[in-house]
Amino acid sequence: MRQAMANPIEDRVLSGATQIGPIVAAGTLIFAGLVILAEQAGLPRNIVFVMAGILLVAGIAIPAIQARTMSPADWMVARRGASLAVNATALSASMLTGWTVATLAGQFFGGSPLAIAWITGPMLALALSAFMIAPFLRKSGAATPAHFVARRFKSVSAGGILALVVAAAGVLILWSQMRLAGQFAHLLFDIDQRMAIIFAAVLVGLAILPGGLRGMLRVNTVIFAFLATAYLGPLIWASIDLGTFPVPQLFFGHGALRDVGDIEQQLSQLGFARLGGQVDGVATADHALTAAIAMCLFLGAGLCAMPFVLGHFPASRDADGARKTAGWAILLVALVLAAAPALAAFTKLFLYRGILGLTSEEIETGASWLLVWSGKASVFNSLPMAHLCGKVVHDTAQAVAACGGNPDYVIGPADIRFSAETITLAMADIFSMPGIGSGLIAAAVLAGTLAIANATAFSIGSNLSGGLLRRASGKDRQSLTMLFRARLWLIAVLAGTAWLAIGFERPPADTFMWALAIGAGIIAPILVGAIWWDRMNAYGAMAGMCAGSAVLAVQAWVAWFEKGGEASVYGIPIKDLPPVPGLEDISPAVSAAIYALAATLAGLVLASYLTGRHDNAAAIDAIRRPDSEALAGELEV
Amino acid sequence: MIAWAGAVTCLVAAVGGVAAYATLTDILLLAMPLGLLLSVLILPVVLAGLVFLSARLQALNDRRPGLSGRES
Repeated sequence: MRQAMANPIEDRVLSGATQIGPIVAAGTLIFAGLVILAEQAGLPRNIVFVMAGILLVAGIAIPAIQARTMSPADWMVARRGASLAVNATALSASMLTGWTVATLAGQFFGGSPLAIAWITGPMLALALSAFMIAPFLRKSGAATPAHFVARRFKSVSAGGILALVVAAAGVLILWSQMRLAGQFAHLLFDIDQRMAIIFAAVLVGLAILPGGLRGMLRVNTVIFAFLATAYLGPLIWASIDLGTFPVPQLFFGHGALRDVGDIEQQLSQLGFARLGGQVDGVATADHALTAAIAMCLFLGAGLCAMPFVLGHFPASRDADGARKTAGWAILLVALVLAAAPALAAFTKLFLYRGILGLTSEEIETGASWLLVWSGKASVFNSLPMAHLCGKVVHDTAQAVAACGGNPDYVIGPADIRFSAETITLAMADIFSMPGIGSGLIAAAVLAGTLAIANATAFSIGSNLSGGLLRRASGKDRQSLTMLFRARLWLIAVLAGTAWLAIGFERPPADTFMWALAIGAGIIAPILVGAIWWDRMNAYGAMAGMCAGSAVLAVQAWVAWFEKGGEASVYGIPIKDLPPVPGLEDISPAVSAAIYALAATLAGLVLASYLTGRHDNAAAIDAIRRPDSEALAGELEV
Repeated sequence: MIAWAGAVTCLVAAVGGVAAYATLTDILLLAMPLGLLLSVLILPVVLAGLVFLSARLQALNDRRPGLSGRES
């Protein structure tokens, strides 16, 4: 790759974008206020949802088109001009997956030991990236992790293999997010799943194709501001409504928790069940502490080297900026995720107030949310999102019939069940808020899904464009060829993942976990080794990646296609490795990542030692000494 | 040195936060486990603080004469 555009003019599209966040947040609140007024005038709820959807599409399309460019330096590294505020905000949006936002409160409500891991894991990932990878990747001057590995080892093959590994992880993430987008759109907006998946692919293409990293940064900045406002706004509303401290992240709504404690004490004294264990789809584990710590470390290691996370740092102005970007992103991610326990507490209080003493005949007055959400299926386990006395109920007559036919039957906490995402998605209905609350939360969950899809799609296009194809022969054609390749790869990957999402109904959460296994088991050790171990060479990198990929591929093959735990390839029997002790009850991807990590490290160390030391002192200096020449030029992409 | 120390401290803090949440279930503060409060409120501040501190230390290190700012 060569110097593509050496124009040092600062990228105003990004440097001047700091005010996007506050403008979007204020716009969302004004929009919500106007819709509330319109609702009072009789606007139907479906129209409210459509309006929220239009707001989301416009919020993606407008900044994406503004970021259009024909310069590879803009497209691949945003001309190294992203301000700290824009990059940190966009990175936070990439870290907040829609399904984490949707299910985290439900996990706290149900007392899952993994809930805290889903908060600490992403934050740990950002911290580890800030210490071990991001500033050094930025200091090297490389545009992508694959570019970095190719330059560090002077090996196009090593960079190409990493680009393929990155693409494999990216395809799994895009597959899971496309599928989630389709399921959420069907669930929340009643859109046909296939159409929604195609529409999501088009939206991601619209966000990334014209402007690349510039477009992704601008769109994800908008998405984070929207998501945070739409998620936290109803919670602050509920805090004020309950007379508690209006910052739900602090003290978890002290007054609400006190009331919940009083109610549960009385219920215990009377011998009645309490709310908490009625949540379907919440993981429980026999070894809770081991599982929670393992999940935290898995998420930390998996996310810290994921391409959609590292893709942000080449846009930082320098290594210090990359480090601080991760620091601010930790706080912004915490701003949203730390509200989940308060949401669980508020929901519990509203549920107690709504259902205690309620008879089945009065369901419509005290718990109408249950009738609204009962007919919908959870996107994670296909169970009803809410049911009463073990049955799906749509009206009062069905509620009475479900509970034995007695209209005076007093509903207790044990009679209700719901899925983990019901706590968040039905929040506005449970809190008896205006319909726009539901619309905003639905759009926020979809927006979070699209944000990670944007970042992942960009990382695939940028890594593959430099890593896999031979360079163009003529210098003058180099820049445009690079850009054309990146866009072509992007279109192909989006079309392929949309086809996978439509045609193959794998659970999206499972697919996502296997992608993280690639990050934790292969990409993270390769990048950390390339930065910190001066004896590592290209053979070590390639052997490590191949060994880790082989182990992970076998594990995934058996877990996905061979339910019995054994499989054969061309007559050769292969057997699944047993789960790591203590991790039997959580995703098999966690155990697989541990085995893959061991294989990657073994391949990396053995091949590096056996093939002898390379003279790579200059490369190590370029990565770690501030006064040395970078491996690649600032705008060389 | 700065990066390794920071990474190890972050790992200890995160694992400690999870362990506190999972084990201190008998100690309730505001009707929630004490460890949860520590993890959710204090951990982000600790992790982000460590990252900003490392950026500051690295900047100071880079300016030291003679050492030419060897990344540690």
